[in-house]
Amino acid sequence: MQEKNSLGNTNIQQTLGSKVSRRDFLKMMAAVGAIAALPGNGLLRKGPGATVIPSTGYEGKDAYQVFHNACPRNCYDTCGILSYVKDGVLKFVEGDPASTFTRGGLCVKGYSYPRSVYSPDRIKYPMKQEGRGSGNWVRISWDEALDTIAKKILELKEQDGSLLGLGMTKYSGNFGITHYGVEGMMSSLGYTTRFVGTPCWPAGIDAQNFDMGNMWCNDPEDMVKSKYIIIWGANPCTNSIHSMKYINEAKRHGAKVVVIDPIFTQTAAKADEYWQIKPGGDGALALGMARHLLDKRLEDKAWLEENAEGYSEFASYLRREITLDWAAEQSGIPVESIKQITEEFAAVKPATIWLGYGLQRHVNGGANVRAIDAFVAMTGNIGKVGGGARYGHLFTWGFNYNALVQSAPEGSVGYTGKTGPMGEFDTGQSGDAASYTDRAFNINKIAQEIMDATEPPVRMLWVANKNVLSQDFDRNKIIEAFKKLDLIVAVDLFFNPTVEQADIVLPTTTLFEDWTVNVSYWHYWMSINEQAIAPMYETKSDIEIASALSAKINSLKAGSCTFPENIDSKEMMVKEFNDGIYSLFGINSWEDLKDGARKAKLASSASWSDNKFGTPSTKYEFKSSIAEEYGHTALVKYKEPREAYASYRLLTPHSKYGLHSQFQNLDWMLDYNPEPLAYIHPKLAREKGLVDGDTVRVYNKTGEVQLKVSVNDIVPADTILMYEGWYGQNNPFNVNILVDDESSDMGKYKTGAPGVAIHDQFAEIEKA
Amino acid sequence: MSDFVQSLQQLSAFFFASDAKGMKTAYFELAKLYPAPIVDDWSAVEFSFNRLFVGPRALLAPPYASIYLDNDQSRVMSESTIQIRQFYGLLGLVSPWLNKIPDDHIALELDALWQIETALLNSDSPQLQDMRDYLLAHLQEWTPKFRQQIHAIDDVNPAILHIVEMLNQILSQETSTTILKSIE
Repeated sequence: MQEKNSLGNTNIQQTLGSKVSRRDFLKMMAAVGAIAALPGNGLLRKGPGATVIPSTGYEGKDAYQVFHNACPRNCYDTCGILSYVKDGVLKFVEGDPASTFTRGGLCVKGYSYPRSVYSPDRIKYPMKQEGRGSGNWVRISWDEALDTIAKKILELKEQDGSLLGLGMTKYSGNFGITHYGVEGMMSSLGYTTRFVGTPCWPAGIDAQNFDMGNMWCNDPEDMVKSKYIIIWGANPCTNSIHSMKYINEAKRHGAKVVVIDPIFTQTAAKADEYWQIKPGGDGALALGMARHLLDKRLEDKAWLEENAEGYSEFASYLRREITLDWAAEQSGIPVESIKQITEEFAAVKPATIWLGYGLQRHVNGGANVRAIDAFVAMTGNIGKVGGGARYGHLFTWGFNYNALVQSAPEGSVGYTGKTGPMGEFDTGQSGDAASYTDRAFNINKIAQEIMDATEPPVRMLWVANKNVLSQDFDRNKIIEAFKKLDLIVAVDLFFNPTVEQADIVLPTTTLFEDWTVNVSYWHYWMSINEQAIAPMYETKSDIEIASALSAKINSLKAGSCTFPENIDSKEMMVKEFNDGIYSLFGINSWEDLKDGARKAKLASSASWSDNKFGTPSTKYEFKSSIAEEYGHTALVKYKEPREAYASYRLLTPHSKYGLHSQFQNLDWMLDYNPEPLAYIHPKLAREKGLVDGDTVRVYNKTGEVQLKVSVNDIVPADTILMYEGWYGQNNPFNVNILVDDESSDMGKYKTGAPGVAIHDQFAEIEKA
Repeated sequence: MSDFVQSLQQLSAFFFASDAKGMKTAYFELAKLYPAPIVDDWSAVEFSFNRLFVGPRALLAPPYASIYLDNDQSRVMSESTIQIRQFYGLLGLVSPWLNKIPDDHIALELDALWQIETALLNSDSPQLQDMRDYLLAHLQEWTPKFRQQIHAIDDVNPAILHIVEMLNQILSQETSTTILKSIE
């Protein structure tokens, strides 16, 4: 591969693949400036400046310009990146050594970045599709694209008297702070329809807010101090590789590592003990463990007395309704194992549980998280360095959201109903205290919401940082719903299934072609993302698009948009910083980040170290009045899992080779992981007469996919496992054809909408 | 100016066309020099052209030399692209789309060859002739693979197949002429 050549000392023939040798090239040096440029089709006369012989490989670090970048994908690790640029071309990337978390290394996805920037398949120009889904595309200028879009927006306003017919859906394609300019662009046009919430982690967010008054995890780097680590429903070996060094280090110091997961993951393989839990049985297991603490009087009475609210009621509930036999039955974990691990966990401090996002993607997911939190709290490990019920945090996200906070043009008419928070990053700031608001639809039910919307219907949809048709649920229903839309605009990097259904596609920049700043929802580092190279082709950043659309629509009708007409991402990024951020990170200016990633100055690596919780009682709440207000039991309690609607459980977790629908389409990933597989247990394979490599139909009430099977005992016998991912335009595989839009229990309180029961899905499997 | 030199300019214009109108103009100009099949639906040409060379779908035949030379179908702006950039630099030329469009886009390479050939009409500089030979050899090295890739695709519009044939013929004729000259 070329990448190897650029680092090795290979000969010119091989590097250039050309018969024309380096000697021939040198000979031509004599002809420098031989001709004056003629009025041809492209090439211009070159200005002064030396013409140098091209390099043929790695030339030492001094030969490169080095930029700081940040991986903006929806990932725990949010790595600081160093980008090496020569001749204006991004040559290679490595991890930022300034961040002790990234520690100089990236993951397989991160190292592939130059191949996405320079993929010949990138979307290059604004284009218009003549007939949705026809594949007949024509190039249009930015001016024509924006003109069409602006006229449609003005038409909607005329037709409906408001802009509620304009919908916007956006999620985690790029978590750079300036990308909230997409929401800002919508706000600056008026009151629109927003698809709010998050498909990812909302049930757990609400659960931790009910229990502790916020979602706030310890610094993952303090796991080195843990003496007992339970990794519950997370798979850092593939999805947070930088966290593994802390876990491994703790292990070297004698910590025990237990993994609880329905799948025998790579993380499980490295653990001291692995429990294959029944999906959705997490709450029952945690309550069983809590009951055993009571039975053995292992709870941290002093801590609970001082810091907990509703504990005695919870203890009565455990004594009254929870038995170990029942917990074993519900979770699939034998009583003896439950007892053993519970006793071991309670015997040492600090002990910690890492709660992954998978375990809350259930109809009882939030209740499960509350039960696990309760177990950790009972052992007195909340607020302890090396302890904690670790889920995530938004502690370092206190930017100005200047790009996001834009006010509606004067006289804008909007929705008069009640609106909740607009996603998990909603800081509660708003442009003005208007009586009108945006119309909030559940991001996880996009198809149903579009189908049901009236007064006005959604007529136009803006999609950015999101691949709706790969990642949203019940894909077939979305195709139907999209037929109701007059105009779909997709802003993207690659021709994915959403772009396929768009009327207009706008080409956007990669992280290396734009400025922004990134923080993590797991670690406590902040990285600047400098523009390292010029935007390829005619790509524009979300901020530039917003700015250009504002100028266009105001030229058609003055006063239609308040978004600054002349602002670039760098300017916008600078406006995101404030004294709070500067003081949290101990920097004087954003420019300090040009020296490398910086970490928040934490009073303690432990969250809640002062035991002052964000709940109404300021204590840890086993009983939460807010939970009750949102329709849940006030007390931490068991909640039934979803009933099976087909013969086998279907699990569709994250893959190591991609992040949602990104990366897996790149050649490097396709080399190692060329096609999706359905993993099934040998027992199920025997029952169905299947062997490795057979093509199967996996189907349920929402649809069908075909793929090959891999027979493997990493999965339970009643389960079909297939990793999510978009394999590029030639492969129609999409796990979300089989995932319905059933809600998880929680999410409404803090993110505006409940999550999705992604792992409460079922299917049939047959040989194709 | 020879038909060869003029045709280079039209081929370059065709591959750089951003819409059906541009394709049609270049096609007609080229048809004045070499007979060409009649085209009745220019939209169909445009759709086909975009599928092959522009997008937004993954390109069926990326029009960049490095894709065919560097044995790396999945990355542009590689070492050989930069070598072509340096080659333009030796001529005193630079792409106005530097670091935006790969320098080895076929339209730019054909434009460079056209510029050299045009300069050679009034010059017998041996260096310039060397550079012409170099660029011609380079084009001859990758455009047959490019042509082959296009031929392997179903339903390519006949107008585009014609252009690709013209590209192939014109470059091979000129290469044979060059070789003959050097034998003499």
